Amino acid sequence: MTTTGTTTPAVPDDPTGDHSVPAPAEAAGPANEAVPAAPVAVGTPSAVAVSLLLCLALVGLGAVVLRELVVGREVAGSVLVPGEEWLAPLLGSATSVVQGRTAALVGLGGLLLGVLLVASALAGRPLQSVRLGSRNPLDVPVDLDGRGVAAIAAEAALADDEVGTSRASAGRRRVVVDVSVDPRDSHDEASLAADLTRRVGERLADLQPQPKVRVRVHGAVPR
Amino acid sequence: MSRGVLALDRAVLLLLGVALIVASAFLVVWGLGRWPGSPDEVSLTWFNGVPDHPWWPWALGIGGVLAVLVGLRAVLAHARRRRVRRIGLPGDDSVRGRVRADLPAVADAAAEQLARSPHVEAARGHVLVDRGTTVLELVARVDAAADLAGVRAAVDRTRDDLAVVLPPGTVHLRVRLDVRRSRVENARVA
Repeated sequence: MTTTGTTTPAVPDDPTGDHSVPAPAEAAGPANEAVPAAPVAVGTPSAVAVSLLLCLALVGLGAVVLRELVVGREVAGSVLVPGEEWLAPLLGSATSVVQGRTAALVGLGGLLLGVLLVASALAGRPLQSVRLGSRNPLDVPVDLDGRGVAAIAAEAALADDEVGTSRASAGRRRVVVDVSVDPRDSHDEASLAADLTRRVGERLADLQPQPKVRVRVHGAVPR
Repeated sequence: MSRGVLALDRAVLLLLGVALIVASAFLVVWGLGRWPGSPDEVSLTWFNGVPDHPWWPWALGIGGVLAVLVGLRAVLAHARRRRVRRIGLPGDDSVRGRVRADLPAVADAAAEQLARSPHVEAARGHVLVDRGTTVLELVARVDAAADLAGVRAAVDRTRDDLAVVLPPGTVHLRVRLDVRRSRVENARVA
């Protein structure tokens, strides 16, 4: 049997992801001015990955074209690159493009690809971490990733005497904790889930954005 | 990778995407026969004789070399990481010479300072350029049961120490936590 409990963050998430709560001027001490906070660590934009793929495709295309130039050619009586030409037969067999469903389907594929290219060009840098502590932009950012959040959550759940094992997975806004209890002992699993949800929530209270916690209690060791 | 390369990436992708959308939309409309006055068939026989032209080998050579060079250059531009090794320190004008700080050494010292905290197991530091900003990034390994307020306080102390060494506003600080569970097994030993 599995019992679950959830909690919602006490502090609403900033939908823009912009931690721009203005700080009073007196909060910025001399150290803040001397060593200012760095920009938030972000992942690589999808535009970079797509561009790299296109760059590699361009190199591949260039290699194919250069191969076409030298394949089958004899220099000083020996063939440099043995094999058949690829591009010349392709161009030689081209006849016509006929109006019809096939052309429309090819166009539809191109349309989707074009939308993907535009979307990747405009996509921002993905936020992959949560911040520990203050939202004050003048404070040094202390970030941790989902794996770290999961480790803290699982450890907090394990601190409960009734919990035998704990495991967690987390993203930026959600943590799921799986705990197992000894099925031979008597447990009020709903109450335990609520208790663990509160305990884990308190442990993660300093994170921004504060993740939503879900605890699942299993009657045996979760696999 | 610099911000210029990223801007170029976005511009090229946007141009390619828009061009592809326009051409594909035309192909869809034409293919469905919704383009009044357009031919039912477009001949491609002009391409048949292309390989026989005297300029064909030249086109292959120049095009191939250009494609490989431009592609490799773009790949290298993405792979290159901007690093800052030294920054100048304010000195005494009456004395000739310059005073510089070796940033990797400063990062190492800051990491060592951070690792002295009982809430931090180990730390390492490096300097990078992130979106045009010189960033000293510390990676602190902490236990999952560690006092997070203590970790935060240790970071603030490290920042205060750095403020003594670095000229104001030259380097920005960021800390990443590498959180690990202390037990090899996550199960409680009965």
